[in-house]
Amino acid sequence: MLIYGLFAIIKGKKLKEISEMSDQYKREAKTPSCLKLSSLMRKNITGYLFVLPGLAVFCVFIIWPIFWGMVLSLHSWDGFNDLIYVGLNNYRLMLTQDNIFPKVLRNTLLYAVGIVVGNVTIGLMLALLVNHRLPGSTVFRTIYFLPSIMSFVMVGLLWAWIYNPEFGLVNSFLSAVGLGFLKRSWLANPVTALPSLVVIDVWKWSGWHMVIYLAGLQTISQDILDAAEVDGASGLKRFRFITLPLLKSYTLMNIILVTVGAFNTFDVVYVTTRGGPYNATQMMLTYVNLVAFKYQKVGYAAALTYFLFLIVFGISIMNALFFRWRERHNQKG
Amino acid sequence: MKNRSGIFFYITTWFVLLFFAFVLGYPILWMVFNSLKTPNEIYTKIWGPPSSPQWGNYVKAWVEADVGTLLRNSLIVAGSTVSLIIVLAALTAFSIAKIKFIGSRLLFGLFIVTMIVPQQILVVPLFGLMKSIGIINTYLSLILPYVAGGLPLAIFILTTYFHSIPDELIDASRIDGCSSMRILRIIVIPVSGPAISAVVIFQFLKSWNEFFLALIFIQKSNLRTLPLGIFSFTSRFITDYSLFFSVLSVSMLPVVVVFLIFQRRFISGLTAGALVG
Repeated sequence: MLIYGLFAIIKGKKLKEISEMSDQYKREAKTPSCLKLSSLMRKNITGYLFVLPGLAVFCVFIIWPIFWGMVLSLHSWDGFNDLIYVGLNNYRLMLTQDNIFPKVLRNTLLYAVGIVVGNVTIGLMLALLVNHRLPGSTVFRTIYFLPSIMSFVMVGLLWAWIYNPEFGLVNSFLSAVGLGFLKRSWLANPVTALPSLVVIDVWKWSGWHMVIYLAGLQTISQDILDAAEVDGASGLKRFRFITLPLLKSYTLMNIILVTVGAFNTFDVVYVTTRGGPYNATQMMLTYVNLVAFKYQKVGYAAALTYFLFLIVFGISIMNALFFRWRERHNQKG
Repeated sequence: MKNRSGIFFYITTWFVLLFFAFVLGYPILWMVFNSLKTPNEIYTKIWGPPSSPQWGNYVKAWVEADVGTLLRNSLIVAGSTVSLIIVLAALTAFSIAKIKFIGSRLLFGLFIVTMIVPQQILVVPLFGLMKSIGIINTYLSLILPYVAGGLPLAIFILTTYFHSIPDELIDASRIDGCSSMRILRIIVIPVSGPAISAVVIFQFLKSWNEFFLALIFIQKSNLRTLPLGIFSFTSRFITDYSLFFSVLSVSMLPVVVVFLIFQRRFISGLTAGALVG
């Protein structure tokens, strides 16, 4: 059985009533054996018919593009005229001749590291704070969660103003507390632009990761923590040796989610810096967008996205393995 | 002694909570403050509320950014996406969890593996596909990829939920003469409310906020979805910045109001989506 803390909560009472009902049915019903073979065939056909519509949409708009992307990446195409087969030339170009691509890769990786560290630590911190259930914690939880339902486009537009050198909150705060010498135009400076984007991402998503951690914290029984306290373990030790290890799978999940998000970053970059200044914030998808739809080098962009796809697919397979591991783990426990 | 350190601990915790509430909440409040200021006040009074709220800004924002049309487009796209996902995912999940045809485990594995792959990274081949079937610049060019992208996760959530419904119940109704479709409609769907609402909220918000594919596939201004329309409005608008903030606030308002009403459902829905993918 798959047990995700939350499913247990949302499942609620109804199912219990049903299983009681079903026991009654079980006593009454037994399948006549002569019907078995033909019903087995019928069952399979019904099964396939039920799956067909969903699978069709999935195949046309996910599987086919994955396959077609690979084909495109072996061609030169401007988006309008015929495809010209160029073999692995696009990949060769990407790895040896393109001097923006290494920068894009570096930016994406740095951004990924930044938002993983930021979101996981702040998300965990917020969860621990809210979990104390002080008066008003539900209000705090709501406030922390609010940014994660907002569209990243709006968030980006808003933060572009917060970073505004003249009238933004950041610089005006710095001069108010006497740190005026730190004032700068955050998004226009090649050194600070990428870290500034990391801050926006953490601002937007940390509340969401907090909620995931809160679901994890609910699975930890208070008895263990109380027992440790009786044995004289300090708060820090209880956190280090009990809470943190028990949250391991939730941390892994948060890391996977944030990493995939990093490789999928487009909106916030596009509405704030457009990859600038001097490509200092150029990410995989903004670069793909530039190459495919501005320079019209669709074949080359396909090679770039295929590279990106392989990375994300690798992470995705890790995620699937992690789920299997967790499923087994939960069955045992 | 112990008690006093406890009180001290609570007060510190509360102040840290307050600090984060300020950092995470104030930018949103500031956006609302600025939306009610006069254009001049934005430059002169950076912090704090407007001296006299200009409610007229909102009317102006609604009209000038054509928020009504944008909301309609977003509702059509997100609404159709979610309904299609629910129908297709329920059929598939029921088949995998309860009919258990030959190969169902393999198919389930395929969905799990693609569950967290965002369809945005397939933008280049998708663009080629949309062009060749000629649905660029239609709602369909967004709805179909959103549905396909959302299906694996929705199928995963529903399948795990359907697994928890006892097999005996299904078998019993089958012997009573119910077809599979009827069992799904009358027995499985009614008890799966929480899982379905999780799928609805997660997928609705995802397609409501999606920007990249909309930017590439929609070039007609009357078909723009909310994020796309707001972005193109603000990128050509430069003089009246209070209007900029009112447009942001007005367009954010619907989601925030719905969120505050259904907060518990939202949080459990979004975490269910996250917890499994």
